[in-house]
Amino acid sequence: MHQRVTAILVVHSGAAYLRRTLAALSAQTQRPEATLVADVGSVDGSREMLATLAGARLVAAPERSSFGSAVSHALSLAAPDANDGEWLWLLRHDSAPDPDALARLLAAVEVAPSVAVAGPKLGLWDAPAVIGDFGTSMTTLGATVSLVAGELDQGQHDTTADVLAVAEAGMLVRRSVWEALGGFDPALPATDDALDFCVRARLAGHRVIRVAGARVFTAGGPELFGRVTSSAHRRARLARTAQLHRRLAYAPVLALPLHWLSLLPLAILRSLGHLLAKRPGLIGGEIAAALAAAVSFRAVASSRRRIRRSRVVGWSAIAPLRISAREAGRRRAHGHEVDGAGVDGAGVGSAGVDGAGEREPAELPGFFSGGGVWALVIAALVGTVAFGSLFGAPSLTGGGVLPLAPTVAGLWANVGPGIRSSGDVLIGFADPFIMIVAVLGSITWWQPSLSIVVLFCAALPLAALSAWFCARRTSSSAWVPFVLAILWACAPPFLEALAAGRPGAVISHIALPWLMLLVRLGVRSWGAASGAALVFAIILGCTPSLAPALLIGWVLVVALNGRAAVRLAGIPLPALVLLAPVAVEQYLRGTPLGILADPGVPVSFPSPSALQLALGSTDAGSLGWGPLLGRLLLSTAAAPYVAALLLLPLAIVITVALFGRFPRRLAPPLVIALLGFVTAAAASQVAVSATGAIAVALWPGAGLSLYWLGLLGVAGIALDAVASRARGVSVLVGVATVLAVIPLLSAVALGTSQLSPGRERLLPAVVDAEAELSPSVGTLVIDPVGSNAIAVALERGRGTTLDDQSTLDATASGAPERGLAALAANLSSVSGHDASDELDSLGIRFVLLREPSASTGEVGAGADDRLAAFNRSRDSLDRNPILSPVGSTDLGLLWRYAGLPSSSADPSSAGPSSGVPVSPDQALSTAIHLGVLIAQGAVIGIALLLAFPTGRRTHHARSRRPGELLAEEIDE
Amino acid sequence: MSDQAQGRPDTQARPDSRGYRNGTGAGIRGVLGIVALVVAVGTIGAATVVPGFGMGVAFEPPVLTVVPEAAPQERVCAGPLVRQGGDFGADANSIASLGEPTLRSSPDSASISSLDSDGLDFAPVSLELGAGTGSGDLSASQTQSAERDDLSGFAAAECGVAGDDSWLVGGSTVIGRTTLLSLANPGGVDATANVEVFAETVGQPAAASGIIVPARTQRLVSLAALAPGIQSPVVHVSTTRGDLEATLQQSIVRTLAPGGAEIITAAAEPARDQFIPGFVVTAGESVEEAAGEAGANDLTAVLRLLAVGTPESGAPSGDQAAPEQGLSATITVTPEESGAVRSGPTTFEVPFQVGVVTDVPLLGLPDGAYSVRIESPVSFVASARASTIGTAGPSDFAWTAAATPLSSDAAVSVAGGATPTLHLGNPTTRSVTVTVASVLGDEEPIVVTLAPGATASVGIGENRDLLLRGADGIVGTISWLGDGASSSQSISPAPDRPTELRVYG
Repeated sequence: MHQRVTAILVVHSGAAYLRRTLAALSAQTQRPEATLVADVGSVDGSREMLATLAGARLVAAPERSSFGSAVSHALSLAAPDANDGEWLWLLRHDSAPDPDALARLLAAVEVAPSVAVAGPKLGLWDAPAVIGDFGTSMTTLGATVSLVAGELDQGQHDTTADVLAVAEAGMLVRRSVWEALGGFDPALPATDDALDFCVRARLAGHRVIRVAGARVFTAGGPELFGRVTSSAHRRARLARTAQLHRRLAYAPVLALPLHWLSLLPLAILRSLGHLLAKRPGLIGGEIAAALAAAVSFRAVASSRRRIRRSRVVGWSAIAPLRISAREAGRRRAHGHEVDGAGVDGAGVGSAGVDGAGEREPAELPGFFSGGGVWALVIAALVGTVAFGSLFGAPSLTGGGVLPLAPTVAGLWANVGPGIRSSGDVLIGFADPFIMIVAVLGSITWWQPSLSIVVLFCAALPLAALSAWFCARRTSSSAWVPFVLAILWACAPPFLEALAAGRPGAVISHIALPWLMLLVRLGVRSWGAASGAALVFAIILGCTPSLAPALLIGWVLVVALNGRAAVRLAGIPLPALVLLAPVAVEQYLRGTPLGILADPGVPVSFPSPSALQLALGSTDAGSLGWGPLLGRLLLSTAAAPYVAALLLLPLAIVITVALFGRFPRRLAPPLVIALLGFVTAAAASQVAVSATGAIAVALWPGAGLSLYWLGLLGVAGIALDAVASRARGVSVLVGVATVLAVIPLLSAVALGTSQLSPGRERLLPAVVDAEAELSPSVGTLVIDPVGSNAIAVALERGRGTTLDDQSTLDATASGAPERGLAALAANLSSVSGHDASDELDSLGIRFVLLREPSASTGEVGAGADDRLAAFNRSRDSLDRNPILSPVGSTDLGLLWRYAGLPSSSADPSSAGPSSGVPVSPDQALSTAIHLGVLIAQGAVIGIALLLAFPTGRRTHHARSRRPGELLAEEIDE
Repeated sequence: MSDQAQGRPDTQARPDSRGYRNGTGAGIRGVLGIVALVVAVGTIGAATVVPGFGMGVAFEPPVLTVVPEAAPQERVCAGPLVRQGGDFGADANSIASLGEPTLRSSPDSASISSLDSDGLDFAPVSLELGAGTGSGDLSASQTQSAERDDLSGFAAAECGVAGDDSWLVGGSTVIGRTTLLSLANPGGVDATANVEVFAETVGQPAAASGIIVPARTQRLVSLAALAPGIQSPVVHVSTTRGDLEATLQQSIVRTLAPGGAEIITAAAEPARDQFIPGFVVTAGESVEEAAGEAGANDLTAVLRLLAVGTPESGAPSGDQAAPEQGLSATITVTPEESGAVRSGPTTFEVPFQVGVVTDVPLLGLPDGAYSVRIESPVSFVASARASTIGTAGPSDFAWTAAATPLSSDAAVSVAGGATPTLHLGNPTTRSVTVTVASVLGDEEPIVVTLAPGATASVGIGENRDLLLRGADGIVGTISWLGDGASSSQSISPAPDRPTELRVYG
């Protein structure tokens, strides 16, 4: 029987391909009886080329028609099917068939009358030997599976003919079937159109086969039709949209509501999966596809109608042709899976844009082979000598360090909404630092305070480690990263932070090299960029005073990194989300600078001069040489010179580097150093909080860490430039610089540090014992700070903890709470005030009068003034009949208040934490608070998922990229 | 930021976007290096000249100034004269009160309550005036006369403000002289007192520490039990907790004749310049005549001094291991302007030692009122004693203590029993005008102008409540005189209100 064939060629600005396609069409051994050419608004001269095709009828399809509708449009203009034996051969402008393709297709369908659709083997346009597509199926869940893709054609798939579906390019389809089924589903304009059509053909009782002998070469999938390129994101979105549409179209009626309801939850779940797989770009498409599917009622209805009209066999008929979930998983594991396979590649596509300036050691020094382990070991040894006395302590106290809450639950309770002030009144947001502390404390969940001890003991090796990983990218010599790592671990601001007990600055210093490294890698990797964002948040949470410098640095990096900036653009996001609530609160109450306050306990320090800062010293002590020389009964005036002399080798190396050969490489570290110094110099003059009567400036150490980072960067370049002599010079610089910080290293051992191991009681033992029974027992702490001046605080239980601190409280500029102040003032004066009621209502059972100390005293107040205030308070408290003296303790004089008889039975019930009805205002603020926390958690969670190393094993086969190397090493 | 060190040495240097090899040319490098150095030095220099680049922000630690609520005014009276020993000397340790003193106080709204005492019929009373009643300053005083075989005389005393440190200058524990130390605690907490008794001999003062005086209780301690046989004691009472009103009651029996009684209240706190106004000498000739008899030498007028400081610091100290040598006090005795006798001031120096009580006889003074001013390089306490002999023979004595300068207004209550005279002295270096008015305003105020260093006396009636206005820096005393009766009553300033406190949060 002669089979009439009408070839339908759909063209959409395909001039680049058309010549070959037209030539191939003309060369067919079996010419189609008729050729219809549907032009979908071509603008690139395709129309002129089509004119050369002899015997073709040119039809103008409506603009923006899809392939399927263009075919239908052309067909509607063609002569009607005369004898029911007519075949349609669907071709695109980029479908170049082999000369015998049509003949072979016809041969295949001639012998099998039940066949309604036959598809050729699609080869790649540029690589004819590679199979682009040869049959399509779907999983039991409806996901499209290309049976063959990207394999070299060795005839390995030529045996099976029956498939679920074939691609639309080169498809030979019986015209009667085409018209009976209504052509391609217009709801599937780009993807899965052929799959859906073939499924319907099968349901209508027809067979779909693939014909191994017939080969057609195409340049791309249906979604590329009429487009020059298609992004991975668009493809993924189209595929998902199509899949969801088909799901709704194919599902049994009863299951429809279920499917509909599952659209959005599934989209969210899959988005998390995308995050884990480092494909954040797909999330938008995922959600958009779900939303589109959720509102496409008419399209789904018409699709379902179309299926119902033509279906003659049950769904079970096509079940054997589907791919099982297990098989799909197996295929994915083997890298055959198409869905999303190209996405990673697309994400990496822009890598190497700035390759001109990008020069890295061909082979990165290994951690063990390249000296990293030595840096770690030596830093650990130095750390052990310096901080050995802290080993084994259950907690640390002194300076800015306090114990943490005794339980993890208590720790996290402080992250939530609650009271953040000794005055029991301020309800505010927790500092991000408190969250960091809570995370830290949770690591040693059985004893949260231990985590701070571990942090301080392990600080030096941790810093060396981070610096080494960052520095090893700068040099091929093992010595340079090694020396830089040691110098980073022995950075003066770092050691001063350790000696002064500033956990925030310590964490920040350890994290800074990671930030540099991750930002650098983040140019190419979502994972690293997210990691950088998290580290950025940690650093800003620990040392908010670095915010201006780091934000300027971020702007510069984004501005200079061109297209890669997309990934870097989000780096400040987690930090901003974490800081935002506190920042907004600070702004609303008119203390916007308070956001920069160092979190934790406010600790005052002598303001350093600019020259001291340039030496790296955060106070006037010349890296501790002043106090040390003083102890040795030598002139302290020599201290700056000693420090400067020992830092001279480093300074010389840096100066030489300034005149080195690669000034462009020096720019980044120099800018960092400049930003760091300016930050430190400005910070030391910006006072935003107070302890007692002393205003506390921002600690310049954080800025100095940045400054030191820049200096070491410059030094690293200089040392690397003299690679042949690097060893000697490196050692000289290293030894001299470590000598310079000897006083700081020995601070803890000599006892000049403010740190002390063990839980130093914050309150006298009597209070401690009472707090065991009633944890909310209040102690009024009065601190004589000057002539007729006292500082007052209300401590609960065993005293304040590190996680109890709040910068909102410390930076409050208004007058202290009237009630507590008046109470303390009247207790400190022989007055007619009866304090019983207030003491009872505040749950205060003890009054502690601290010995006068200079560290909290008023500016200009002498020891005599403080002593006078002390005596006044003591005499008054002594004369107060409601207080009974407990005695003198190492923390000061203590009085006990027995309480009114009615309330003495249960002191805790008098505390403000219980029994107070929650007002609507409080409920609202608590709700807002929780909402903010959830939002913060979501952002951090997303960043974590993105940063979490889930590198696919398949990547190993490709060339290893530095980003993945890092990710794996962090992993290890 | 991302690229700490983008490059590697020349071996791997590639042409970069500017197309040069092996880095930048030497000239450009030099310029760039110098620019970097200039920026570095400039930045540090700028930060040195303008700390913090002028971005400094000051922070005022939040502070609240709190004015403490005023405490109620409180005064404690010495209580009745007390006799030691039983009626027949049977029980030497027992004490018994002799009647009840006359109390005079102002304003009327003050509440009066008795303290507990060691079984006395009439315990001392404390007066309390609630704060904020607007009734002015609280003042009170008491007088009492006794005429018994073993105790006679007239004693007037101001009811004082309990304190934590008081110096009582007077008394004696030699045979026939009885001195009792009264410690009255009007407060709500038990007081713990330390008592030191300095003597005229070199050595450690007798001391008793840790004497607990329960709240609202008076305790009487015989000074002889602490320090027997002392001719010239000075008693220092300090508390480690709580406040006490400490007074001495001295009575004399010469052989069998009673020689007077006096209640001694606290003298002005140690200072290097003390002023005793209203030192009244009466019946001078009879007294000097009688003083010649055996056992009656304490009839003579004396000035009692105790140096308690060191020349360097002037700080009070009760512990003098090495008494200072070569110290002397300059004593100026000036007759009052309004007195009957007019003569110039007499000035003389006496040597004295730190920690050793010195009695300086003031002989040959004509009858009249005098002011005694004592200056010394060390701080000291002082009081003066004068005796009188009545026409019928009974004698009495009075201790006039160095007075504490008053603040602007001072209230004085004057009870009855003899003739009171108000003496005002001006130890300052400016002229002061004092208005002596009745609290009730029912009398014409008397205006007294005092030149620097001058004293004046004002006759006042019994049973009066007076208000001294404009008395800033002035010292005052009330002397009482009767026939064979004399006493002296100090005028102490109202206690300071608690000052405001700066409270930091």
